[in-house]
Amino acid sequence: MDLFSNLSLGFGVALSLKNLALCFTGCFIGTLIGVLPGVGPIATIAMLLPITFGIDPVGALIMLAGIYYGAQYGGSTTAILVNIPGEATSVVTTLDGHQMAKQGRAGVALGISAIGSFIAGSFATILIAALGAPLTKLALLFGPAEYFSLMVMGLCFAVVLARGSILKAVAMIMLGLLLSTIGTDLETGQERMTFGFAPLSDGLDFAVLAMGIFGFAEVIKNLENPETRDVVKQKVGRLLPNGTEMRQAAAPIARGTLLGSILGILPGNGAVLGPFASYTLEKKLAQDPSRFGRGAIEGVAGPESANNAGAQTSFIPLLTLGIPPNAVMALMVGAMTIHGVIPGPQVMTKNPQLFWGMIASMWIGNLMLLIINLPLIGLWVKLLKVPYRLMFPAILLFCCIGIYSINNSPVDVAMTAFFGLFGYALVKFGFEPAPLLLGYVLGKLLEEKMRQALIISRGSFMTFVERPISAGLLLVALVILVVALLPSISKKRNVVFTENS
Amino acid sequence: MGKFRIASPQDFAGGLFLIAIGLGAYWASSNLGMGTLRAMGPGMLPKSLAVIVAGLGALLLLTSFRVEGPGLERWSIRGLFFVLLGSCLFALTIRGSDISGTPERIASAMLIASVIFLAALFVATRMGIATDGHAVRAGMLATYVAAVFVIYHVAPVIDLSFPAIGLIAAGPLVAIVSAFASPETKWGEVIMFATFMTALCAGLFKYALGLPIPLAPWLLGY
Amino acid sequence: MTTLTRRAALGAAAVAASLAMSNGAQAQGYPNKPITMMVAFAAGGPTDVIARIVSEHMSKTLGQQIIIENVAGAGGTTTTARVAAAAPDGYTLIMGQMGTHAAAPALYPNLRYNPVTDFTPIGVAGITPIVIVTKKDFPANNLREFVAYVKANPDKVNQAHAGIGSTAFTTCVLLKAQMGVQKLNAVAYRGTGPALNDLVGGQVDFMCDQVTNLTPQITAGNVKAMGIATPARLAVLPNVPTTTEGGMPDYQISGWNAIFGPKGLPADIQARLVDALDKALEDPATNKRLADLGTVIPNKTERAPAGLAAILARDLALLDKPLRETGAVGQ
Repeated sequence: MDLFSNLSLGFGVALSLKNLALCFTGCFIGTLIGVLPGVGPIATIAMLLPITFGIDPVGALIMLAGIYYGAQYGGSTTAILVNIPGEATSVVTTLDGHQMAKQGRAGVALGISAIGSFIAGSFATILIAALGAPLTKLALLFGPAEYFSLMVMGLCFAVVLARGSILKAVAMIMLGLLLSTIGTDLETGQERMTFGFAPLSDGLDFAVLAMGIFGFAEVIKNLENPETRDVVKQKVGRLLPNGTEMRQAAAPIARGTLLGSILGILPGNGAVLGPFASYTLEKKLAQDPSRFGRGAIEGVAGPESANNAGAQTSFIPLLTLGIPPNAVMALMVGAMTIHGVIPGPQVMTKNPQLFWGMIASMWIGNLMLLIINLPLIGLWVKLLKVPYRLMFPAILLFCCIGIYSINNSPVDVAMTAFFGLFGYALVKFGFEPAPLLLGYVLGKLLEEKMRQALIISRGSFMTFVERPISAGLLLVALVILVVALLPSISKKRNVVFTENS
Repeated sequence: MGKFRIASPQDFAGGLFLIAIGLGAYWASSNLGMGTLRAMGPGMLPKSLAVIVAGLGALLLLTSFRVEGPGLERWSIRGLFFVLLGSCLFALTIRGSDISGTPERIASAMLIASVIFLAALFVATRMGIATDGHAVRAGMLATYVAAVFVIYHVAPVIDLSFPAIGLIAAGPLVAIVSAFASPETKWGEVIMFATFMTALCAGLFKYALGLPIPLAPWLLGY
Repeated sequence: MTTLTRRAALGAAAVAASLAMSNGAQAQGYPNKPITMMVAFAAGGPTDVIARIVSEHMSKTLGQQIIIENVAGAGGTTTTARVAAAAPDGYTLIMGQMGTHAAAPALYPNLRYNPVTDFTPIGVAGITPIVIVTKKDFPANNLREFVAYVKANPDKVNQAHAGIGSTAFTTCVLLKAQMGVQKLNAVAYRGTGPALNDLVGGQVDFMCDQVTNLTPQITAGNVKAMGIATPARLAVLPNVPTTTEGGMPDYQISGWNAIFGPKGLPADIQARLVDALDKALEDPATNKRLADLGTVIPNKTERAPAGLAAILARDLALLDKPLRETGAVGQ
């Protein structure tokens, strides 16, 4: 068995004392920056690149990879505790995770997210090892048309995410899409809706938008009603999920892992769709969908698993093809080239130690993350006991520094403040910010891929239905939409009916 | 023909909000070419989305007359004001800034307007003038926006610039200014906590993570 | 406006005075604090990688840390403009490249800097040759067949590039101009990665880009190389013929990265930086690191300030007309 000898080679490399230490360092730094709002893996990996010059390539990449998936673990902590999604992938976690925290189940939410992430990470690692090379072909099957259809499907998920009025949710998705068109047009280079304001020419940064409409707006909202936010620290509850909760979460974890693994392989940051897809699926499968958005454990377990599985499998196109599927992986390409490893299809055969060593280290890293994170849960939950009058200046301080450091730009901080105002207005008008963020994340890709597909097809819209994968995805989107809309239509009818009688 | 009544004031305001954004976005993208459906120009998506957003706003507006819904919520001006003021001050002073660029000019215009505004509010409450009610609040918001607009255009003459005070001073600044937002604030506690958190952040961001954030240019040179 | 001009005049006077009074003294202490090298692109990209490798050795020579600061925006022009306006004290430098300095004037009518007069050239850090590649089942097998096929089927062929102003965009515009087929379908991608992904997947037909990105894919047979735009074949790609061999001797273009300071940098500070760059490029370890990337290290005359000025002038002249004719315009 080839796989077995390859894996033993990999573990041989990864289990050396030095590489274990580097893996731990990476995971630890990753957890840390994941927890800090704003500071993302991109800035950190870029900063730590020069430090890794002295280390051999395998060790350096093990550490940098650890930072990346460690940050995915840490990001959910902030989302659950203070309702701030550090990254696009943890937006979904805020929905039910923070609700759980408010009910005094922060420990359970954090615990299930760590356990789910570990299971997902382990599965994805095995997947990379066993099927990495053949799965690469899947990434290559996705041209612009397929990608467009995938994004359309993603937008349909957003409708399902909505807790309240469908009309308002659709409005928020459209608003998110509208915001995503700000910046330089890719095809023509023309600036759109920037008002000649240079910091807008590359569009809005996701962190600026998310930190504004989630973080700042949340703080302002909490300040005005001391009664509701105090719930967070009234009772803390158990630190780990019990048997019933584990059983409830088992199937969502399995499904989330599978969904996240597949979406993670796709180029152009398919991993962001994972948590949204998983949440949609769980909400649809649940016997009582109304629990979602009110602290359903499935709404944390599924998306968190999908998130971490996607983070792992997004290494596949990088390792087997040398083509980075997202910004962090692009940075990993930079890291590899700095270390004299030219990423490409030859890495597997030319540097088997690097290839298999990195894969083995990912599993070890996931285990380490579980070990780092489970004891930390107690600490995080204790943090919730800090009175809010001290907590909120600290949150703001962390947010300001974090946003500044994304692009070393003070203007970003001011823009976040502006979006804080914007987000607060949305809350006051009864809109939900989550569909807006999803619309924003998918918007850029949606337009980009649609226009690419139309240029290639010479303007024929048939390209979206002629290509089988694309047509299949559009069909799924249609089904999701119908299923999502039907109950609300019938419910509306009931409401109208009762009002009339 | 029933009598004119808004069944859901929140949706009514939300609808107006969306319509305003849609119209604004349409105006902002009016210089962009639409292209055709087959060969889309840069303006195709922004303009269509602007119309859709405004359209959904109009729909929401219409339903607000028929479907019962929640009323308008009060805005917490105090929280909003100090939280945003604190972070804008951080933005202006972390690396220092002149009001030569548009963003700095807008931010400082907001800053100056805010200070004047707050003083006026303080005087008004002392004089017993009511600052409650939607009409008064809407008027206050309009005055504020107008003040920002006027100061923005006058600012180049005033020639404002902010010193680069670095994280060591900008950190406590954001924490302390934003602490005004809460009525529960205890000052001694906040000042100690702000100092401690800033030191922690300096260690964490500057030394542990090595991010190029200025610490104290006036003291350390970086 | 009046304040602005007054401030500018005051600033200029102050700079002139300080130059006249303390020119020598200033350079003697230089550098006495960390130097910032701006990179106008995201961390991890080709420009960033070269900046980090070169600056690491330069810090050793200069005895001060060189901090890399990545601020991306508007094809790199925002940050380049910021450096052009910075104080010429040697503490703010930029790792410029072909796009920000040679292509930007033709693409951005409102550019806030002049790449020639607003900068003090320090030296070229690396040159990356350009190679033309097609998808692996493209009907042409060499450059002659490629040109013939593209000319015969201009409405069937799709070219990929990495966004307006990117090296992949600029160099292909020149190629299309020289082939006489400007009206070719060009598909814009956000960066080289996605463009390359679709080329390997066969969604688009061809692209031009730096060897750094393409070598592994060419070697693995995922894409076909038509020609390399250098006078001689490259050691890393011995089987890829040059454009001269392929019948397009005029298509000679390379991406390059070079260090610039703001204009008016005192001559002795410039000399210290030139010396530090020389030492870095002569250092075997640094040299090997750059060579592994597929970067050609320019010789001493090529990389000197005068050599850099010559490369800049050549590429500005070469790219100006074809780029303006595309009608692609940034603000």
